[in-house]
Amino acid sequence: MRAAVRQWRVLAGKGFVQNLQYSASHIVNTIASVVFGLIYIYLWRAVTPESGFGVYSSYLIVQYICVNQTTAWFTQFGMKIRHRIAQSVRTGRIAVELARPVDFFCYRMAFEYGAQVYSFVFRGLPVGVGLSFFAPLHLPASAMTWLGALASLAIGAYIGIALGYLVGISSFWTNEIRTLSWVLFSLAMFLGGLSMPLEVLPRPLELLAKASPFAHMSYYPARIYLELSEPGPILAAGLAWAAILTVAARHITSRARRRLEVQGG
Amino acid sequence: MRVRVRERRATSPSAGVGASETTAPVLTRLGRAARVYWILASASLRGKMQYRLDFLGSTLIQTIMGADTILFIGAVLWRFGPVMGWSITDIAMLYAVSRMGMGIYMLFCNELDRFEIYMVNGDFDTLLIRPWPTLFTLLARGVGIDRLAFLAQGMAVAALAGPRLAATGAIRGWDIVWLLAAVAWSALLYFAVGLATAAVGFWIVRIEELQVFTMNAPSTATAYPLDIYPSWLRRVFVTLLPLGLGSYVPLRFILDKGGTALDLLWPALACPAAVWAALGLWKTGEAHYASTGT
Repeated sequence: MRAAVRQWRVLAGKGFVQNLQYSASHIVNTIASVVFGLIYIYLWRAVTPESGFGVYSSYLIVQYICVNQTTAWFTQFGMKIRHRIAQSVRTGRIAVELARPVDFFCYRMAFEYGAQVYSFVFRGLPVGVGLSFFAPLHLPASAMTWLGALASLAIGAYIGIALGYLVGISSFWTNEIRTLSWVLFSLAMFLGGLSMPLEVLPRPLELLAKASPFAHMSYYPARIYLELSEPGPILAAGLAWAAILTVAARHITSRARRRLEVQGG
Repeated sequence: MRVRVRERRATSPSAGVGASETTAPVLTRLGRAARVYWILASASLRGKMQYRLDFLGSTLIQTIMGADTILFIGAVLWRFGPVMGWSITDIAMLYAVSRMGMGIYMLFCNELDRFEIYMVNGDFDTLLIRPWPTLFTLLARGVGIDRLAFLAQGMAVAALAGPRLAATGAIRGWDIVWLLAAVAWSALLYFAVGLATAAVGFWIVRIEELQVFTMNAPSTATAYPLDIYPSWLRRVFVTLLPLGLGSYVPLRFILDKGGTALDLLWPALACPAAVWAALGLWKTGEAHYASTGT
């Protein structure tokens, strides 16, 4: 167990450090992300009635956007696991990766998790700081809220990476993962509630979105942070989704292993 | 390895070495360029159409799934009603014009969008040894037929919004011509911004993140009426990152949301100037190109 934890820690550390090389381009991207955040802030300011809607006041909805634009760098944006796996399959490097005395799923997940922690610290938080110049960020007073939101985010990031892993592993069957990547990105954006609270959607779609794993990547962490939801049930549901995706990913990985055929030598 | 582009240009057939080339009529040279473009582009198309079913399936899925922006706009306006006087059909037309402009850019300039790969892998070297301008060869070698989804989305949304706007009298007669012109201006502005961004790659090599700033962010921003933004941000999207100039500016006049008839003229003046400036930047960057080696 201790060895497995150490393995996770080392791989996650490598994923974190690798990204430090691209700090200059990440600064440019951070500025672009602030612009994206501003687009949604001003859009919501323009459309929200003065009385707000549901539990969302005009102030809360702007906070919701700011929180999501910051935390999405942990749970969604900048994730490269799909392309890393597809590239390994295309070049044949996958044979070496599968032959390593490390569980392939754990190896990929841990490496990506480290990269996403980097992404959150050096890309997400600066976006939050940048946006706070236009809309001062709400900081919860309760330590429990912070803990709940961080736990929800950690689970959301795991779910996001696992979904990316599933798309990446499909490259064992098809060389073209762009379409699946699009599908995943669109679902995560729309059903995840990145740019809007899910209550905006028509009722059946709202319920579907709330029950989906995508909601754990944006909607629920933001709700907990803004003290609009109790963390307990949300964390339990998130953990259940994480477990389901882990089992599915492991099962598909074992099938992919049997399918692998490497050309050349 | 520093490639001396200017010297190479001076000796390349495209620069016009022989007496017959210098005296050749412009139309003949254009005709020859069109023929070469067709040969290169059709070769690229044949390669991409090897798996036709895969192509059709992925285009269809991308068209449907990539419509998340318009679905978002639809959901918001369905809940809250018009924004700053723009109804859902007005915004749909704005989105359609912008999306079609982007679709045309993606179709003909797909390689500009993935120019970073040329810089990182040193593949740009192979363009320098061809007897045609590098930009011409670059654009011809990869027609973005696999990115047809953007154009399809724009056309589908225009087909839905157009008749409704016509029925309410919001667009009539010549407005259709101005709308088509707005699509063309949008495509030209995407080309100008895409080209300028790619040209920066000659200095900084990695441009993917810069593209998010210069292309993706303004593209998303201009899917909404610029009236929702504060004036400083509005100015950014019609000057510094000018994608709003091709769609929002003419459409606000066409759809009676303000502005004057001059709004139809500004893009006609600004687009050629933007393309000219981007071409200048490309030529300057090309002269500074240093290969990463292969």
